Amino acid sequence: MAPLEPYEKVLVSVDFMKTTHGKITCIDCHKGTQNLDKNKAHTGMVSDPSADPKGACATCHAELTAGYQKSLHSTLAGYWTVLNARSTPEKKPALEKMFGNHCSSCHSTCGDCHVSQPNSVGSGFLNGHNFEKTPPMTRTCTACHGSRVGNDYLGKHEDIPGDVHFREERMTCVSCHTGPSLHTAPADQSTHRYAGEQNPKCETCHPKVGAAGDPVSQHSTHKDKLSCQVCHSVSYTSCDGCHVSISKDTQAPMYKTEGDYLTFFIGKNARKDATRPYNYVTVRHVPISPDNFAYYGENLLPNFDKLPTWAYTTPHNIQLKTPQTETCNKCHGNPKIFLTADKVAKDELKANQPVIVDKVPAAIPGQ
Amino acid sequence: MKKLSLWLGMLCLSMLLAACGQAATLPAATLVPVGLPSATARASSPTPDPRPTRTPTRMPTQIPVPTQAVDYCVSCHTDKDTLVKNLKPAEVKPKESEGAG
Repeated sequence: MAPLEPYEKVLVSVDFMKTTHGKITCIDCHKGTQNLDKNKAHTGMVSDPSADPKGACATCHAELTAGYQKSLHSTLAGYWTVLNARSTPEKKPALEKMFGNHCSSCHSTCGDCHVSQPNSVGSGFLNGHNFEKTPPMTRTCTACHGSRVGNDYLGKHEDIPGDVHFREERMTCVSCHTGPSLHTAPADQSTHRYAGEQNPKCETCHPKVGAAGDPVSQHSTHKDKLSCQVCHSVSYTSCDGCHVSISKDTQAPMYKTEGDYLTFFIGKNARKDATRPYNYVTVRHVPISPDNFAYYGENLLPNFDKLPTWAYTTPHNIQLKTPQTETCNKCHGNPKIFLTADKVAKDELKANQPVIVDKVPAAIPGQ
Repeated sequence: MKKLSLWLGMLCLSMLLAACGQAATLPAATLVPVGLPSATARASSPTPDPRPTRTPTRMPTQIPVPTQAVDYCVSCHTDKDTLVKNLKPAEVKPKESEGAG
């Protein structure tokens, strides 16, 4: 995504003035003052009025803004769920400082999706300040969710096709992650993206899979034992520790990941619940290591082993046919695609006990 | 003859004054309603109708505040050239982070 020129970021389209939002005066939402002098006009100006959930948007969209305050995009609660699990209360102040410098910019407002590109990718109007009811995927969704979702979904890895939903149907993120699901989070889903009811889920559009009369016998055989991605996804991105610090030169927050690479591993399901009953799921190494936040203090993750570093994942590169669907024994009796102990770093063995596959399912004779 | 002319002149003047006085004391109901002249009427009549009205047809209102002719926010932010002139060029920051974000 090419960066916008400075003027492009703030050039208001004449068309916008004819829209409903364009009928509202600039200072009604953005404050500031009417003045020919730029500096005086911008004094007290609020560049993103939607940053205040009870602010400008709430005037007309109160129901949405109230619900949005519970959304993971707003709360970033998913981060805190895993940070808290690996840490202790006395370490929290240091982690909060770290979070403010490196993670909170991922918080998104109404405007970050419907008016402008997110700050984390340089901001700037999507379309001359016009409000986009459906955010453009590559300039909003995958602008943030790029390395572990966008690149997989759009097929940006060499020799790995993009997701079939994109290649063949040009489906965008909101085709599955619908507006209502992004605009709020029910209580059971408010702590982590894989908490509570599975949403979205493949069966919503594929209700016949595994049901009576499904001509694909493997669906019935493996139903509720494997997540869909175990058979229908291919290699996806894993990352190792993401070390954060503040630059000595520019005083800007910076990070350095130990590495990123493509993997495909089937692990045990450490998040088993009524809506995710699977025995096996795809797992991805998440960018965590014990000393990720060493810049902010010593041993800030004393309970590092409480969560696997190879985490439950739902890769976004679904294919109808994959190496796993070729024959039974592409998986059965094939330790290469299972997360066995030999593939896990020694200092992470304890953390990953819940997902490490001790015994690979036996090969099926004749298959 | 001069006296006759003087008397006739005074008679005409007194008749004129009497007529004017009568018009001023006509009851309100018999007055011709005076509405706001249309734009075309205003354009065609160079002088406003001076006839007084007993009951005003418009209630007094606040003195209109002159509306701002130019919205400075809009005029600047819809003008590419102005923005190009007023904005600093994009600062190219060195990329300090490494690896997938």
